[in-house]
Amino acid sequence: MVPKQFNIAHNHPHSTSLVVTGGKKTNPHWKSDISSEAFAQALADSIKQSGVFSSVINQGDSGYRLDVTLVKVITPNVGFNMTVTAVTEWRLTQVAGGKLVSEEYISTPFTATVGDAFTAIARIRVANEGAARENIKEGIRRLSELQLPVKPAGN
Amino acid sequence: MNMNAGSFLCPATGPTKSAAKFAVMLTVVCVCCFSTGCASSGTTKNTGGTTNDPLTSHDTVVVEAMSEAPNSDQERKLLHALIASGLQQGGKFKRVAGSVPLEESAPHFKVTARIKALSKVSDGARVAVGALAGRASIVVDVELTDSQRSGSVREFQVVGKSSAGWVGAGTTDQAVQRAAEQIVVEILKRR
Repeated sequence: MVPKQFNIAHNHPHSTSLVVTGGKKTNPHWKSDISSEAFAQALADSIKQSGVFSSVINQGDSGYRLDVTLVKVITPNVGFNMTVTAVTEWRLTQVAGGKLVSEEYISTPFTATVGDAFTAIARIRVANEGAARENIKEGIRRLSELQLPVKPAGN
Repeated sequence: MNMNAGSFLCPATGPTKSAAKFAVMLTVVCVCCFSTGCASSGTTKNTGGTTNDPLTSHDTVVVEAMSEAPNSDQERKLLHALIASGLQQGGKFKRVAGSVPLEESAPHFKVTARIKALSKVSDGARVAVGALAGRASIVVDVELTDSQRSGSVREFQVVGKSSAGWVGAGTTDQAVQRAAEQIVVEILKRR
């Protein structure tokens, strides 16, 4: 789910903590889904690779806190071309003072074809991962466009 | 005994007749579905408003979603996120806020989407009974207000419907997507 390339406007010299909620673990008897843990790991890796924030801090003080809610992963049941849409809400808060800096809503569809995976189960998984990957890419692009103060308190 | 030629040549018992009738009806329904189209759809109907002015006076729009339908919190959240993401991706407003503007005193438009009715089709129902699960639909009343004016700028109602007719047809989420798309289009075309 980690994008290969990022579109970065600004690299922020701040650390951020990360909280992802709303995901669902895949039920082995049902369709593939995206868990909060998997999305959080991919997002943390993506933030590090893109350099949009200087670091992702799990414990201790960070300058910012990024909350991502997986509102819904819309998946089809069957089909040759399977389009999954990941709908997320991103909220960036300055830790010192608790000011909400940014609120972004991102909806990213991704279509997997028979060429990507032959079986429907595998195709949905490919489409899920693609939708999440595009979502992370777009979220990081939007974060990079923010004009953050150089030295937030607490960083 | 009063018996016509058809029934004499092809005698059928009660249950067999019913099954045959059901098969014919099912075929007709399926043919109708495939021929007349069971694609997902969205429609919009004006219901009021005080002005036809373009929405150019403010750069901020606040999106709020409510529901009068029971057990619809997930759909309300999805509708809210899809409207907000659609307006953000439309790129015509500088700021799209999900709750209140960051500066509360800043002039803004407000989109209030209220779910009036919801007919759900779950993934499970679609897989289990296919076309017989029917079409998911959602009816949303939308009010557009201006923080610096009294009354509503515009009121309209959208209806979103999922596709239907086979096991791969859409579910409730698709109906919500179609409704959100209609709302975004209606707002952006006035911008």
